[in-house]
Amino acid sequence: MSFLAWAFAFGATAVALPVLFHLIRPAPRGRTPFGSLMFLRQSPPRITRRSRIDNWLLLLIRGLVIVLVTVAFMRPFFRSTSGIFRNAIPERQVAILVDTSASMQRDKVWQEAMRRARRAVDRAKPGDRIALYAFSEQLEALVPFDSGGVDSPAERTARLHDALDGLQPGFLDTRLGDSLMSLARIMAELPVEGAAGSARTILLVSDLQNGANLTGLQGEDWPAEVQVELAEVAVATCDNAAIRITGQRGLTVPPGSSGPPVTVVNDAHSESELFRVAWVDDGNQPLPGTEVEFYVPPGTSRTLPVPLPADSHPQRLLLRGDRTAFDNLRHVTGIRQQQLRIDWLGEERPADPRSPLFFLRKVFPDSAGRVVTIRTGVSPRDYRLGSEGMPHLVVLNRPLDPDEQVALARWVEQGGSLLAVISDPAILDSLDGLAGAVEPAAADAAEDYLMLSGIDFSHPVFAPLAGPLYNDFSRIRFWKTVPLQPAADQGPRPVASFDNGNLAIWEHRPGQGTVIAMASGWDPDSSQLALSSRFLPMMWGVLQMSRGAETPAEQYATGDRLEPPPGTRWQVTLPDGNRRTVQSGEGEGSGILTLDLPGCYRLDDGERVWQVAANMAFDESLTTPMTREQLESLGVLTGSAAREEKQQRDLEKMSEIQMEARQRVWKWLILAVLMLLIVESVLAARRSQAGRQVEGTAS
Amino acid sequence: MVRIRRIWNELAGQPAQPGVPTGHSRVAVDPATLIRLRNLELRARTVVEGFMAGIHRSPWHGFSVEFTDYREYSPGDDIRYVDWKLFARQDRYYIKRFEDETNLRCYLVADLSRSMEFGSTGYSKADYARTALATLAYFLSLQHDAAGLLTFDEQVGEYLPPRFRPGHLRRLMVGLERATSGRRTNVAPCLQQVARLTRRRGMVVLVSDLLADLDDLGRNLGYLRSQGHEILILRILDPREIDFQYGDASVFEDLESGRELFVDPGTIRRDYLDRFAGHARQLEEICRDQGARLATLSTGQPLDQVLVEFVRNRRRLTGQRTRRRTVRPSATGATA
Repeated sequence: MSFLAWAFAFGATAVALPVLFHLIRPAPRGRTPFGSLMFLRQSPPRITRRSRIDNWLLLLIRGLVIVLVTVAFMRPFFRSTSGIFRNAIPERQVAILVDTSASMQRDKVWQEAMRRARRAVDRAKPGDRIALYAFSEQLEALVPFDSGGVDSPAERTARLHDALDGLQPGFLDTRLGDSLMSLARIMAELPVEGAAGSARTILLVSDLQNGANLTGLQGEDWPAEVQVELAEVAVATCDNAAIRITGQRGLTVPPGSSGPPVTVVNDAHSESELFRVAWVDDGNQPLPGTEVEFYVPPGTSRTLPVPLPADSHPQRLLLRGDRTAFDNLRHVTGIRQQQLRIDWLGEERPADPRSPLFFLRKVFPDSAGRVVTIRTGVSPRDYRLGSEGMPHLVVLNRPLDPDEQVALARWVEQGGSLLAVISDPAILDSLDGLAGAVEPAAADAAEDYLMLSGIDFSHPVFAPLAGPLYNDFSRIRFWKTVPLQPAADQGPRPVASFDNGNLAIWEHRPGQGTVIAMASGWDPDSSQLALSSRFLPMMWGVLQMSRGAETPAEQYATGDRLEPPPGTRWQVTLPDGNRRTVQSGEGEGSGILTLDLPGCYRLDDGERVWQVAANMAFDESLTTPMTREQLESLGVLTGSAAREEKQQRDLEKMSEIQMEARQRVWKWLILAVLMLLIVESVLAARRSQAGRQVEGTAS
Repeated sequence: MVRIRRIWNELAGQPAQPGVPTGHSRVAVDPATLIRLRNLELRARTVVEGFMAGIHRSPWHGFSVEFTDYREYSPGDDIRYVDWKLFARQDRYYIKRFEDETNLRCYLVADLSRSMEFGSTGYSKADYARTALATLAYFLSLQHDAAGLLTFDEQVGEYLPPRFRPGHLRRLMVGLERATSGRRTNVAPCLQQVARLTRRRGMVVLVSDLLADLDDLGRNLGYLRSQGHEILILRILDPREIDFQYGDASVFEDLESGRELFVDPGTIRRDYLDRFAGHARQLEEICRDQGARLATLSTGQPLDQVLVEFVRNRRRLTGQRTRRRTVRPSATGATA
């Protein structure tokens, strides 16, 4: 039996409470003055004879009358499965879309999200089709609509619960727009089921943080048949601040500073203003002397240098002071400023805009992460590899005397790096084979200029220019070249050739060293190379081939992917200590290194070892919830789950009212009440009469 | 006066039980009826006259002075008091001694604290006590005895020294009609005050319910006894205080302190009676130790019982003195 008006049930207390109070607490009847209380003690209340119920039958009848009247007012009815409006409630196709981005790792947010998702699964009607998807950077189907085989509603519910049990939030960015649009397209292509056409709904279970990326919704038409219900996960606090690290180079120490500048961004709805940032050890304990206070009002940011400890290279930066801790730890590498030295052996006219040295100085400006010093007026006679002050790269653009040649050759063979700019055959002669086995080639006097061709883009010099946007060298012309070709049998490795087939750039590895040679100069009298935008990455490529000038550590966001260069193989140590091998090309261990976890990754390609750091995207720290209007402004058809439920409740209510109107149980109850009142009146009259008789006898 | 002495003599042989009618056929006036009379003096007169009305006339006419005993003659004694008959029998001079007829100085000490306002019989203990004291005062005035009044609650109130003069009885009645007050009953300062104010010995009649701590009562009674006072304590209690016959549980309010207590009489009646009896026993022990007479009167008893107790007390004391002073009654045969 059900009732239309449950509120009237409180009327039943009208019979319960007086009886209860009467029995339990006999109130003292008035006050009794007494001469002295010195012989009296407080006595506990007890049920006296006057408190007991004398006439159970009358009390029961009267109580029953009140209860029946109450029940009649509650409009009782018997439920039947053939409700008039129950069939009008349409079946739905619901895709539960769960946000597994990093911001869902906040306290209690994930538990609340799981609760909402499970409630949606449990409240599904037998005819509903429920699917489960998750998203962070991309959409992932956990239990799709067409999951193969026809399973019963109970089995499907069990599968959904199992999938929810195995779901955990990750550390990736929130690409809400892309995921919503992808799922909307999937649902738009679902076959129409049922006579009335099933409603298609995406139940979005997310914290809807402001940092969610909605660009995927821009420029796309939202399918009209798909509606989004927002199951917004309640967030306990928006008190959040985060460290922002911009650029792939990460943190660097500017010259003259005690530490790298760190930017703290405080959320606009934050309650805290004072934060502390410090370098911490693996146990998140601040290193002495590194803690800095940041006063950052809500909605603003502040940058201050955080001093580095003198004797260690910390990689963890911790922020404290807010109540949301999931994004407070940042991993950084490459925080030292790199000091590189290049020795120039050539004409020393740095102010002459037609001098090669003029352009070389322009290539390596000082930066916060790296300072390149170009020395002139030096002699290779003093080169001792490993001793203090040795150059990382020697750029040669003049003939050497025999002593210099011997010293330079010895230094190169021990591991030195040499860039030989052979703009004059005399330079090649003075090298005496240090540039590899090359021999003069026939010069074509008819050609006005030469261009590069046959470029090996896998070589580190050209690797940064391998992309289709940068691999066009047709606008770089060479007027003065030294016609050379590799020796027949043991020639050097050609890196680039001129379009006449002569060597343009080649690599020779004498001993442990590296020699990159160019058969032309880059000054404007020789070629357009120095005037080209390609010149800068080429020269950086040459510098990075030098020993001690490794690629600086880099900064990534979680979810970024690193791909080994062709032909290389990385041994990767993950932040959790596990190891894996990533190899270019096909086969086992091949593929791409995805930086799923925040932390420092150690990469070893056999020749060098370096580290990269991955952190959660800063957008994940923008935890203030977005509004429904932000989604609707992008064309998303949102519906409130509450509104949907209210509509459903209204339909059920109408069905119940109809059933109650047909059954009219309350009339029978009122009839029973009248009968009971008659019985009660008769009983009461008899008792009253008996009482009067007794009184009469006594008198 | 002679008639009153006869009453004393008659009552001396009666059992000293409160509430038990004496041998002479008196018609006791119902206290409730009596206390309806507004005039206190009229109440007293009614009680005293009713008390005397039932006493039979004795055929024996005594002397105005009362013989007590003999002693041997010594030179200087007045020869008028030589018993010549005894000289004739024993050939020795004996002097007859007579008890002095002195006026009694009686101090009526009245407890007018709030606890005396309690009453379950239609009138309070204070009404009963006032009437009793007025009765005694009237009774004493008939004997030409001096009666004084001292009222108290938590401290001493009004004091009228013992006098026998015209108008004194009227002032005493007015003093008794003073309203009750005070938050508690404190007997000790009152008794100390009596001890300070009285130089001549007399009789102290304390009328109170004595529903208070009895710690200092014995000591203060001792002071009075050391001054030679006779002490009669008339303890006035309401019948409900004695039997605690209450029905429903209710909040009992202390008339003196205003303290309230939820009490279920059916539960604690036995405990009350035990504690009440313990208090009464303690009081009796104190009175016995100090030589004071204690009479407990219920406000339901006729008021002439007060006079009975008073007379009994006087008679007891006189008898004791007489017995104490009787020398060789069998040897002399004079008292036979």
